[in-house]
Amino acid sequence: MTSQPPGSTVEARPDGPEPDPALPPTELPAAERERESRWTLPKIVIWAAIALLGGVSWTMIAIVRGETVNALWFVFAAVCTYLIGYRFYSKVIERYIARPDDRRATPAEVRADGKDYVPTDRRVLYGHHFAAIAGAGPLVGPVLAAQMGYLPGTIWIIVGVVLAGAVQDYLVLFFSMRRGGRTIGQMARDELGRIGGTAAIIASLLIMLIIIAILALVVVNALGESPWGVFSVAMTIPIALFMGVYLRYLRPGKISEVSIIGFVLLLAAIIAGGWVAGTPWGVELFTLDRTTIAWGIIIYGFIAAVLPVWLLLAPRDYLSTFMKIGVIVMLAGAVMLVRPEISVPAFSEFAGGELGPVVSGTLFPFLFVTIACGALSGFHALIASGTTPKLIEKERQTRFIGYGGMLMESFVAIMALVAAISLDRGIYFAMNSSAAATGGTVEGAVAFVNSLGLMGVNLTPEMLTSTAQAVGEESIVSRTGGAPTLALGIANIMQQLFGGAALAGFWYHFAIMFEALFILTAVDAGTRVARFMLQDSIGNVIPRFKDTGWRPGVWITTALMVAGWGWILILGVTDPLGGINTFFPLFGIANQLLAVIALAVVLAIVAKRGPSYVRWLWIIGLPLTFAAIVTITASAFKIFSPVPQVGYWSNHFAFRGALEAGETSFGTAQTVEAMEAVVRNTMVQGILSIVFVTLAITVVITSLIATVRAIRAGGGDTHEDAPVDSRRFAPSGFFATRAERELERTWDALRADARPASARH
Amino acid sequence: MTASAARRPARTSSVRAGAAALGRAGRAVAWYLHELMGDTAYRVYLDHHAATHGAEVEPMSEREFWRCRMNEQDQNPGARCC
Repeated sequence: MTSQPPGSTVEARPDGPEPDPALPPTELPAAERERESRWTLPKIVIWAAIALLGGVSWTMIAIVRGETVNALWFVFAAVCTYLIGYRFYSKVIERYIARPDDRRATPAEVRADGKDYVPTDRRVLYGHHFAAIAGAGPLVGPVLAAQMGYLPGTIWIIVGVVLAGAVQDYLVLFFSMRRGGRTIGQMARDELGRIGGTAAIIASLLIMLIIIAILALVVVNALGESPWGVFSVAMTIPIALFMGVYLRYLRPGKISEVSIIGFVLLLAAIIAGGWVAGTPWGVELFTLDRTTIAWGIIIYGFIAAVLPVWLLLAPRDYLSTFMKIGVIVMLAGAVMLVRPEISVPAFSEFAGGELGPVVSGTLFPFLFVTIACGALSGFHALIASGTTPKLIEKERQTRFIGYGGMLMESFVAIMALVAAISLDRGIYFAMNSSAAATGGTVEGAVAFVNSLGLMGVNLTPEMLTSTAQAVGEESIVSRTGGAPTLALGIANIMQQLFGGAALAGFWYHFAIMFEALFILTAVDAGTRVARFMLQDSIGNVIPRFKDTGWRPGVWITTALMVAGWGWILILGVTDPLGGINTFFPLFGIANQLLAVIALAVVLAIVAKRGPSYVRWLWIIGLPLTFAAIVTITASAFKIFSPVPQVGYWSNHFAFRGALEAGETSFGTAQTVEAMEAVVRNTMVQGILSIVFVTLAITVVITSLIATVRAIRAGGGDTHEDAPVDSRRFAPSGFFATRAERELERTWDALRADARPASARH
Repeated sequence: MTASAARRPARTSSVRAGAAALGRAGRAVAWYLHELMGDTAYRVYLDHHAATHGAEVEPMSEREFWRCRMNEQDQNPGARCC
């Protein structure tokens, strides 16, 4: 690399076709780019100010120990760090790892078909990509991790995204784009061979099932015994059906219009929910226990996955996108305006131990799996390889969309963390300790939380009953899963801006509603994708299954996939130990293992690009090593730890021993059936842990072999598509630079000349 | 109104500039929303069709286009993340 002059980040392409001399340049000339990247006084002043503000904010959060810390410092620390990471680190990655070449046409340009491959405006594609990657994950993990105090989670979310999560998203997006939008599974097969590839595909299928099951568990826990929540979330189904019919038969293509109508109906459903939950028949009809709701979601998941997309999935997806952007803008604005004071300690009493009531396990490694989405999320590799790379207009835009999109998700996670830690700690622990610990009653929760010996916490029964009453719920005790806590935090912040205490119930259920909306969309989209993967795999043996129009095949594979996640969901709902606290680590471990797999594939790809890449491999090696250590250690804890609260197997054998000894109650399990359930659940969890970690280690080993081989040989085969000359230009970042705007104008003028005025819209 | 406007031309022009900026911002938000939600997909298709097939091949009607698009999504689902 040192032999190259600064600024020349593109390799010479002597073999490529010559650019059309009749056209303006398809990339910003290197000299122009260098001139624009030169440091000027105003630039130095601005970046120094950003660095200073970021430094002060971090000091306020991490070092100054006052009674409270203002939430605004979290926002500033996050935004300043993101800006610096984006401006400096992502440019290093662009320059030395990705090395984009805007003279090359992207798949969207080469294969343009007006449908799947469409060169899309970078700012619009950023929104698309963000809507596809962000969901309930970044909202839930940070809430659970808040039991360790605010600082560990904050540092991991902000530093993790800059060095790991955004790096993964950016590079998977870039390399998938260079391969015509191949999926991470296909890339694994190309780069790592059959063993690594197969392991990667099985791992992604299993991980998808686990993720669906645990997200569904979050919804079930949020809706259990909550007639208001059940009514308003159930209403999203008729609303989506109406939107689907409207778009199909009344006004095709009017998506914004129908989304606004749907949004208004949604608000009406939330308001109506409050009224319905106040009537005796409403309480009778919509107060459902968790097992019933779980079965409802399972049946719903099956129906939604076999119905045509236009009827249910697509309209709900529009609604979900609309809500996602709206709610995040709203929440960010509210946090800035309300500026809540945070009284949670930086490190809580549970940061040092492994027996926290929300999720068990030591800070290392369990913090890093509890917060997956928002810092590093392997699931994004499935999104960043697939739809988004087929829509990229110019290669250089991948940095803004891939790296920048993940920074935005991280910001959402910080917002969720702020909302959760703005709550009283006593209430936080009463809501997030499992019913096995609190007994599900106000008295039990008060006794349990006060027995934890938390500094400054003195929970009273009135606090719990009055909070529940304020948000229109029967009880808030043991509402685990993160969603209700976040909803309470959001209600707390929003009511200070709009409506006061009178609207607290509305905001609480508004928050529950949008989390449920994201999750249900993820559930049926995920079921569909998993079904296609299974159809493809079975199709290798029984070819008929590859025919996606063959209804029996569709039904059988859908039923198998729904049975897979539905089974885990039911185990989680009926788990005598609490459910979320035992199953959530599996979700995080699965998600991070997928990240390990994605980074391992990227590592092999980069090593094969040639010797000049070797000294920059640490950029991928750093997050890969960290994620691999975290997930393998976490899996090892889950498999081998002798502490029953942490190790699945030690719990398994403890309960089995008790059963064999003829005992009829053990720990929090009061009956023989409950003890048998624990024995069964811990076995499932233990086996899944073993399977995941084995698959991931297989992929990492095959990747290391491919990487070392490539380094020794000075490179390897490339599976990139052959370069084709680009015939268009667009700026790279959100804002066009002056030179980019000038070049854009030249192209616009050319297009205007080339086309008769009547054909232009 | 006109008399006072004539007396304070600087302020009127700044008000007008403010309104224009607000209008631009409004149009930008509307443009972004329509693009993001996908309202413009049919127009994109028509543009593409005109550029590749010219006038010989009749493009799909808007209704046909959306049906076709939904069928394709049925055959080719995209994942949504957690």
